[in-house]
Amino acid sequence: MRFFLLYLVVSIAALLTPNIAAAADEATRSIELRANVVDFYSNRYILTADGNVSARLSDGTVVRGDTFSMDLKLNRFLIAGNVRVDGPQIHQVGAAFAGYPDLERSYLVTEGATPDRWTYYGLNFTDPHPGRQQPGDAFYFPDLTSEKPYIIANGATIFFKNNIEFPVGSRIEVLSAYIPTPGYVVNFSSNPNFYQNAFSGATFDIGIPFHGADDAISAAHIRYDPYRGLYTAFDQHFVHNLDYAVFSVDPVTQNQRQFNAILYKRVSPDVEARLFFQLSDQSQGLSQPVSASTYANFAVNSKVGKYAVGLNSDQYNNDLLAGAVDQANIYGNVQSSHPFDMTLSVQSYEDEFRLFRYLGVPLKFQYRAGYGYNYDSYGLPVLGPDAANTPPDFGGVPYTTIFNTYLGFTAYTSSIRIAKQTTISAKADKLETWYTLPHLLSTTNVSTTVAYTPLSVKRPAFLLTYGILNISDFWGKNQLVAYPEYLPDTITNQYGTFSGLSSFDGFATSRSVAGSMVYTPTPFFALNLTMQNFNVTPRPVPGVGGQAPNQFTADVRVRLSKNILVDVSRVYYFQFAGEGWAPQYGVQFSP
Amino acid sequence: MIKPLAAFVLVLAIAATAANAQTVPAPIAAPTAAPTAAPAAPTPPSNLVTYTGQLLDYRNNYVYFTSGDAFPAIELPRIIDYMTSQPTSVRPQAKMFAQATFDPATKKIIQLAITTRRLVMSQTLGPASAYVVVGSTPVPAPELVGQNVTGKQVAVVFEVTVPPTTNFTDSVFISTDSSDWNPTAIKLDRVDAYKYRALRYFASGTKFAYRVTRGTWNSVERGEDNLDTPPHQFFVREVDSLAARVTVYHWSDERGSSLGTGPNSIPTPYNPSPFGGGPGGIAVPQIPLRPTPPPGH
Repeated sequence: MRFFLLYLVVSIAALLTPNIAAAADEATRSIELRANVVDFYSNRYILTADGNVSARLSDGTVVRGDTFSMDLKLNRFLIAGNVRVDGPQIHQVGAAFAGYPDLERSYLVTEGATPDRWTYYGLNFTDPHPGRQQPGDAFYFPDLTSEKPYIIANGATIFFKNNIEFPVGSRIEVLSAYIPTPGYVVNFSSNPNFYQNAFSGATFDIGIPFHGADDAISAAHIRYDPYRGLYTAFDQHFVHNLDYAVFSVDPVTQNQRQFNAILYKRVSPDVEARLFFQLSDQSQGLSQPVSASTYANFAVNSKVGKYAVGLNSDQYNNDLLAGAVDQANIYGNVQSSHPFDMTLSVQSYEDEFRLFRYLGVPLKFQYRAGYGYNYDSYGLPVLGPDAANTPPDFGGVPYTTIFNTYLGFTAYTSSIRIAKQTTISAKADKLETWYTLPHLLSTTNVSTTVAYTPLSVKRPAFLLTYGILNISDFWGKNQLVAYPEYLPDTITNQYGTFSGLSSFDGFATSRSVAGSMVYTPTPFFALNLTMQNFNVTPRPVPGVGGQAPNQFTADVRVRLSKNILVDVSRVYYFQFAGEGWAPQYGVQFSP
Repeated sequence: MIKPLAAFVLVLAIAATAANAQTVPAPIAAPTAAPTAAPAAPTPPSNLVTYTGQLLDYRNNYVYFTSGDAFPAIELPRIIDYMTSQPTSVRPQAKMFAQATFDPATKKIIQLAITTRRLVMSQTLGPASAYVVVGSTPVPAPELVGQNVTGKQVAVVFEVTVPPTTNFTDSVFISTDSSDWNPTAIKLDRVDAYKYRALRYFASGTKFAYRVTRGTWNSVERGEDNLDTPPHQFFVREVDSLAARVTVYHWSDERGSSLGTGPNSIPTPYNPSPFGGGPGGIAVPQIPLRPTPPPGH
C-alpha cells in the first residue's frame, strides 16, 4: 500500500510540474467574455455576443465593442462596432479588432481622422505595424441565418482550443426549451484525454460539465444501470498535453461507492507511466465505512530499441477495516489477504521473413516474453480457516509465491490476392507459460480468413474464417490432481441427459467457423450479419458450462438524421441451454 | 411495455444525444456572399457608384465594412431602410447589411441603405476601391499563405489495419474531436482479415483529429512501441476523395501473455483459469471451484 501511495504522490507531482512552465507562457490563452447576450451554436462551434461586449484577454488587455464572434475550431475571434482596446501598452479605438492566436497576430481597423489597418504581433501592443496585409476574411461575421443557439448566457470564459465555461444561470436547449443550468462547460479540445473515463459501465450516462479551465473539467453525471438504478456521479479531469489525471466518485448518492483515480504521465517520448487506483467502500454518507477494499494497477511502458518493454503490477487489499479475518468471502477472496502480482514483458516490433516476400507470400512475425511474480493470490497457501477445502500446499510443497515465465510467437501473412477482389490470409500464435507451481500452460491459436471485398461499397463484402484454439495445461503426473475427474460422468438436467463430463482433464480444443456479410451501400445504412459455429472438445454441456455451438448476430445501423444514428443489434443462440434470441436488443443512439 | 422510468431515460438520452450532437466543423474557407434571396435594392442614379456589404461600424463620418475597408461619408448622409427606401432613424451598426452610394464628385458616401436582412454582398470593391481611405501603404505579410477551399463535400475513406490479435467479431470505431471524442462515433466495417473501412463525407477545409478504438477508451490504439499515441490530424483538401489510413499495432487492453493478471487469473488447481470460457476463450465444463483435496490432505 505504501508503494502505491508513493506512486500516487509522485504521479500527481509529475502531472503538475509542466503547468509551472505553462504559467510562464505569455501568449493569449483565454478570453473572459461579458455581454448582454452570449450565444453558442454547437453545430458550428461558433460563439457570438451582442451588446456591451467586454472581452478580457489572458494578459489583462480588455477589448470592448458592440458585437463579438468567435470560431472556436478555427481559433479566431472578432469584436466590432465602437471598439476600444485598453491594456498596459495600449489605449486605442477602432471599428474592429480581430484576434488570430494561432498566427500570434491581432488586427485592428482604427478610427480617427484617417482610418488605418494595424497589425500587432503577439501581445506586443507597442508596435502597430501599419499597413501590413491582413487576412481577407479577418473581419467577416459568420452567417448564422438558419442556426439556433444551443446555449444562451450573458458571459463565457473561453480557453482557446480547449473549452468554454458558461456561468451559473446559463440556459441550455433541451427539446426546444431553454433550461437554466448551474453552469456548463463545452469541451472542444482536440485532446481526447479530457474524455478518459474512470467510471464503471452504465446503461446510460449524461454528463453535465459545470466547471472548466485551461486544463481541467469538473462534471456531474446522471447515470443508470439495472443494478444500481438511477444515480449521480462526479468526475474531475486534469489534462496537460499527453498527461492526464481523472478522479471520480461513482455513485455519489448511494452508500456503496467507488473512488477511482487514473494518473498518466508521459515521462519521456519513450517512457510512460500509468496508475489506476480504486477504493470501494460502503458507508452512510461520510461516516465510517462498514466495508472497504482497494485495488491498484501500476504500469510502466517503454521503448527499448525495437522492443516494447512493459512492467505491470496489481495490488489488492480485500479489507481495509480493522479486524479483517482469514475467511473467504462470497467471491472466494480471503478477507485479510492482499494479493500482489507483477509482470515484466518484452514484445518485439513487427518483423518479416524476407524470403517469403520473394516467394509472393509476405510473412510477418512478432515474438514476446515475460516474467511474472504472484503473491498471496487465490489458491495460494494463505487461505487459513478454509484450508479444509483448499489445502495450503500442493503435493506436499508449500508455495508462498508463484513465478511464471512465458514465451510467445505470432506469425501472420498479409492479405494475399487469390482471385478478383478476393484475398486470403492466415495467422498462428503459440504461447507457452511455465509456472513454479510446476505445470506448463500451452496455447495454440491458428486461423485463416478468406475475404471478398468489392471495390464498390454498394456491394456487400463477405468474410469466412476458420480457426483452431487449443489450450493445454500440463501437470505431468499430477494431471488428475489438478483436474480431478468430474463426477458423475453423466448428468440429467432440465436440458437433457449429457455424458462424457469426466473426460476433461486440462486439455481443450475449439474449432470455429465464422461467416460474415457486411453491406454498407451508403454512409446512412449498414447491415452486418455474422454466423459462428464452435466445435469444442470436451463439448459444452447446457446448464453446466460452455457456450452455444451456433450463434447468429445481426447488426443494423441507420442514420435517422444529421445528428442521430441508431445501432440495433441482437444475437441468436440456437436453443442452447434454453437460450434463443438474446433477451435484449442492443440499441445505441449516437451522433 | 416500456416502463415510465425507461421512457424518461430514453427521452433524456435522445435529448442529450441530439443536443450534444456536433456536425462537421466549418471549413477554413473565407466566408462568401450568401446566396440567399435578396430583397429588391433601391435603385441609385446610374452615374453613382454603389457597394454592398456588411457593416463593422459607422463613426466619425466613416463607414467601415467587413472587408476591413473604410469609406468616407458626407456630414449627414441619407440613411434609408433598404426594404422600403424610406428614411429611417435606425443607426447603422455592426452586423447590419448596407448598400453605400457614392458621389464620384466628392468620393464620399451620400446614401446608406441599411437592413438586418442578409444581402448579396459585392464580390469586389469595384469602382468603390477608389474611395477607400487608409492611412498607410500596404506591406506584404508572408505569414498569410493560405489554400483556396470551397467547402465542397469530399469523400473520406477511413481504412484501419488492425493487429493480428484482433478477434474476428471485434468492432472497430473512429473517434473524432468533432464528435466530442465519442469512442463509438464512426463504426468501421471489416473488409478482410486485418482491415476495417468506412466512408464519410466532409466539407473541404475541415480539420479534425481522430483515434481508433474498439468502442471504449479502455481499448484504444497504441503504437508499435506499445505507448499511447497522440491523435491523428487530418485536413480535408480540395479534392474529390481522400483516404485516412492508420495501422494499429496494439490495443491498450491487450496483454502479451494472453492472460489477465490478478488473483483469479493464475491457473492453479483451485482456479478455473484458463478455462473460464470468457470472450475469445474456450468454454468447457467447469471443474468444481472447490475440488477434492489432493491425497494426503
